[in-house]
Amino acid sequence: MKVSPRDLGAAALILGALAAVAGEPAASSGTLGRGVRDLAAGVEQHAGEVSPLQLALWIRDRPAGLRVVDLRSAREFSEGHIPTATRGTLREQLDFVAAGAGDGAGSGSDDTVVVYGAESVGAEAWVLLRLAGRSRSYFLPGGMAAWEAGVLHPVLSRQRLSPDELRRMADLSRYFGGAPQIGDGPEAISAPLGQPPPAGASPAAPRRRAEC
Amino acid sequence: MSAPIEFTADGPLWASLLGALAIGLAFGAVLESAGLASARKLVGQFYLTDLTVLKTLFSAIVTALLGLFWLSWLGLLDPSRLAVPETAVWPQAVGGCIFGLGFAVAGLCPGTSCVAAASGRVDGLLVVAGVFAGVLGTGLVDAESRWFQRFYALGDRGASTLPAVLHLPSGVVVFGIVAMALAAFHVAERVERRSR
Repeated sequence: MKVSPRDLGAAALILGALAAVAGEPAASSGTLGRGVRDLAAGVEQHAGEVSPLQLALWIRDRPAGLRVVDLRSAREFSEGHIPTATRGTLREQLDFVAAGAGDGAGSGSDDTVVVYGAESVGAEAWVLLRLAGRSRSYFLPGGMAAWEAGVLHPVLSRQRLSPDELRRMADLSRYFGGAPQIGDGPEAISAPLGQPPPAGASPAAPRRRAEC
Repeated sequence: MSAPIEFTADGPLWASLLGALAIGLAFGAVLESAGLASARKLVGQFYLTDLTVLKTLFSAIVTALLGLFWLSWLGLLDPSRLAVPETAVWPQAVGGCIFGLGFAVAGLCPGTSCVAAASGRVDGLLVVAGVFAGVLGTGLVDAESRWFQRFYALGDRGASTLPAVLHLPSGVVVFGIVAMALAAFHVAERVERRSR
């Protein structure tokens, strides 16, 4: 039976018209969605984490679209918070994402959001934000306590950091009113700083795939 | 391979590679048999004398689109396994312009240049060499230039899909694209007839 291009076109049109009224296809049961798999990989790679000094660098360099959100109570926020942070709740963040208002609470889709809170709240919030589709979101492990220890009172490793990196980190700490110390104990910071994120991106963002 | 088919996700690596090889062979064979290894045929697209490229690739898009939608709807395929390339408005717009210019000048795109090279055409070999040189050069610039890294991320929208951006059901978007393709085929036929 010979099939002409006209027949194929008619078949395509019929299948397309049926698709318009068929409803959404569902992911097959018994498998995890790609989003969950990617998120699991991100958790294993600590992709959502930002160190205190790295966050300090981002705040100091003020890339466009960076927002720091404090998820703690109003009392805790008033007692002290990370510079430039605004207080918010996780529900507000998720409500904005669900409403399709860009890619996050009151922000355009180019924004990078860093959340922090008491104990593991930051990490939990990050997982929920990523599941909700807020791709450019990060969290500060340890919250305010980590900021105080890592930025305001950092111990920098003389042995494992280059002199330039040591100076850079010490200057960054002093920029925020900190008092850096040099030491080589187990608590000493030895990882160098990454680059500040370009507008709307971060060093942890995966590179796009090239297609042809 | 990012196929949304169960055996490729949890099966052995060789199965995925074999599947990729088979698909690549089929793709190359189809492009060659459609005449898309010929720069003259491809450039006809830009002079509106031969719209084979539009008809071939749009047919492929419609076939894949309907196949993915209906196989997903029937539960035979998991659409969440599909890799969706990320959207970055400005670098992709600028890159698209550069690509279009290169396509018109070279008469071949990256895919068809590989087909032409495999067919023994010297122009295909030269375009492949140029493509790799351009990719390598861009990679070197990207590694050194913070300005370029910032530009690369401008307008980053993450993995965007038309249904999400347009706030329409997937099926409606599918129908719209199919209708657009059929209209394009009709117009292409008329344009080609007029140019003869």
